[in-house]
Amino acid sequence: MFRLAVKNTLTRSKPSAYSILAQAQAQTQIRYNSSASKSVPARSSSATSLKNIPKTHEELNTPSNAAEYVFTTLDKVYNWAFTSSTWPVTFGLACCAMEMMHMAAARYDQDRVGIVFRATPRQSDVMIVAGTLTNKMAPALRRVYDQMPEPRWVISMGSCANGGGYYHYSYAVVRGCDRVVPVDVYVPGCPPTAEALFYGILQLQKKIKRNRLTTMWYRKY
Amino acid sequence: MSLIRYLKFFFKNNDLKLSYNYARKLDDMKFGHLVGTDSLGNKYYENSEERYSRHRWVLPSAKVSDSDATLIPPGWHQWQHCTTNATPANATDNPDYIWMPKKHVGNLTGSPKAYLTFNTVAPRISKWEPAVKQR
Repeated sequence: MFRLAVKNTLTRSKPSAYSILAQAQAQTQIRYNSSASKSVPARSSSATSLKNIPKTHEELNTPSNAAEYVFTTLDKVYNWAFTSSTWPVTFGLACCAMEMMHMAAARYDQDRVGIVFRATPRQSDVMIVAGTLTNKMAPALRRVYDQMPEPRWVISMGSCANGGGYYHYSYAVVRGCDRVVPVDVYVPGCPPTAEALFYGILQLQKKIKRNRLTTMWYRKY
Repeated sequence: MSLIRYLKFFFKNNDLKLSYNYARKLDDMKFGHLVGTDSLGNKYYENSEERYSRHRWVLPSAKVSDSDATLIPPGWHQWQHCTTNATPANATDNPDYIWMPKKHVGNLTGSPKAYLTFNTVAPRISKWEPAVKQR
């Protein structure tokens, strides 16, 4: 109710996201039908479509009314909280885990960006799959992933986790951990340096900052 | 980073804006002479009296939230990591290939210009196009 009231009061002059979506759906429907039978005339392209939705993060995050200002700010606070405390669950499988430990140690010092390794998946936000994922380990990996609370992210570290790597043709190895869990960031290397993994984590932080949870709920895009 | 070293460099700098930028962007205090500026506005400094591996550094022009290690051009990266002592302006062996970008760009991952893989091989399976037969 609140949302509808806000929408009615604040976005009266602009075409709402609902109407844009409805028109886009109608157009898709028409395209869908016209491939079947040519009798349905195609609607003119002057109608507002999904093409008008901005693509860059800056444009998407620009509020156009008071409610959007509130929601984008809420998003920023939410993202800031998650960005500055991404706790990884340790899933060291092979030599990549050594580099993962180097990242935790004094020189690269992951603590300064708020990363603390947790021993349990139930308290962690991100899983770093470091090393070769074997067929035997895959169910355990999936179980650990399932035990993590939402929102959760996965970093695939090293060639073996990315796509099987050296063991790609082995009968005992999963050809990439993205066959088992959805991966956000792939860190290449064999093994990747601690710097590379750190860069991957910074990329993940940027990805987390692009979350638009409440804004998407409000705008539908 | 010791407090004495921090304060020493802070007073040696005698430049509040620069010191603020160091504290904000590098989480450290530095003192040295400006060696050069690259096309993206990053400033490169050197202090040969500093300990090796701390003696060359970059003050990024990007905001802290936008900063990225890939925003440093390769020539300056070489200089910064002591692969060479010549800055890109002084170097005689700068690589110049036709495939190289004219202007350095950072990592575009996550932006609309990000690289997407594509397939050049003809698909071996045909897509299902659902259609109702006309009666």
